[in-house]
Amino acid sequence: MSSPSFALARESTVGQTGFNRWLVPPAAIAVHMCIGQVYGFSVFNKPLTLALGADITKVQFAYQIALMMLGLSAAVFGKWVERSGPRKTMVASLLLFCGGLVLSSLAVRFQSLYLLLFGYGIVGGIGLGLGYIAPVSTLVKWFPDRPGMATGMAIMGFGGGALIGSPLAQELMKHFAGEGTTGAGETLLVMAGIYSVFMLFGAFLVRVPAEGWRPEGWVPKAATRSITRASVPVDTAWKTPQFWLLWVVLCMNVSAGIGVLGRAADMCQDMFGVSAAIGAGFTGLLSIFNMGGRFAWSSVSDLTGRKAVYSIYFILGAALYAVLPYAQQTQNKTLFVGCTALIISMYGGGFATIPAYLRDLFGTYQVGAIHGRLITAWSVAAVIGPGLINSLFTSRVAGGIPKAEAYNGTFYLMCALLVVGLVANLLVRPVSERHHLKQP
Amino acid sequence: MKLFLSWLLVALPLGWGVMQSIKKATPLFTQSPVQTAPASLP
Repeated sequence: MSSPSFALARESTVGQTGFNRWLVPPAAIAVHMCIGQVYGFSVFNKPLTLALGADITKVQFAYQIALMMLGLSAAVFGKWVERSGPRKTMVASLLLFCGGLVLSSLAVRFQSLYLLLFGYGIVGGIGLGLGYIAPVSTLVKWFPDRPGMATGMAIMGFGGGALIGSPLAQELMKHFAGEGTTGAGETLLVMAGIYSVFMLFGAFLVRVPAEGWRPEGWVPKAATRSITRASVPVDTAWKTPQFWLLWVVLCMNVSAGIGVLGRAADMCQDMFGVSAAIGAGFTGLLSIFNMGGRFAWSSVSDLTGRKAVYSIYFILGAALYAVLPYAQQTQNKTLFVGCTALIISMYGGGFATIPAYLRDLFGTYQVGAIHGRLITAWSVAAVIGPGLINSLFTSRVAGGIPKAEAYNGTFYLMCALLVVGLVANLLVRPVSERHHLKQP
Repeated sequence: MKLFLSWLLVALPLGWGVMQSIKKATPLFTQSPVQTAPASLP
């Protein structure tokens, strides 16, 4: 009988002959849709504020720490993830992420804000980072013929996590709320249990392909200018200009998307004078496009190539942002909703396409670890994106511009960010052969 | 069978999440769009 540590080892997860590779995407989605809960953390803002007696900015700080830790842990543990394999990493992610939820529940029990920051922010945040990168390189290796589509499926699961996490938490809190309790503590505990089951399912379903495995009947194309068959180790990759250009590409794409996503409900209400219910509905609609765009655009990239699809994100994205002030001036809500939905689909697409772009440039050897380091761009964008928008919007309102029109300036700022991203994308060239790993 | 069940296990919660978002988005299409004056108007 194998010991538990052996069951988690990379060697014991090698897919045997006849293993169906289509079992790997649901394993990846199962993990991603759990950790995607972080996007729905805002439903806990009010209940946690009441339960902990802390103000909302302090409670929200837990979410910000979690996102920061996501980037940091993905960067720091990327090589360990590659070495240990997806199963061990998914189990580690489960223990940390669900452990973070349990600690958050205890934070409510003991009314400790610091325990929440430590539990959800630090412990849970590390779990997020491990879970996010764990299945990516595995999927790229199982689907060398369609890497964009494969990673798109997993990262779509992360987008879907918010769609599940928010209403699930609301339903559970409604159930547990009673005299003197918001139900937040019990809800966090139950969610930890539910997510543990799904993440465990993902961990035990996942397999890595055997060395040299390739899909039946698939013949690898000869290396092209844009797709390498060489391998670049992570410690070399992150010193290349290509890595930093892609870092800028991701950072700009995310910053510009967060511009709409972060203030969607307020924006819709301020610009068109609609009710709060319609504002919330607009946010719901964007969430669906955020999730769908991850799969759709990433799959498109398998046909167009990664550089072309990012150029579409940036050029079309900038054009759509430039149209939004016109939609506001003419009070054309359909145009506004259509443009923003498309923008958000490309924001999601940017996340999902980046692992395949990294594979094209650096090969599959340590693509998970390289992806982990690149995710720091997301952490930075999560801070600078909303920061830029909020400060510009606030200063324009303070300058006497009506709220409805004050957003227009921020849309032009988003255009500028996307142009920066476009330039970085166009500068990406194949990695020099001197960085390739020498074959023994 | 294993393949079908695995996909079902992830498709069900995702489908539920999407349905919840569609429910949330419904007022966007059903309610009378303009409830109050835009912020720029008096």
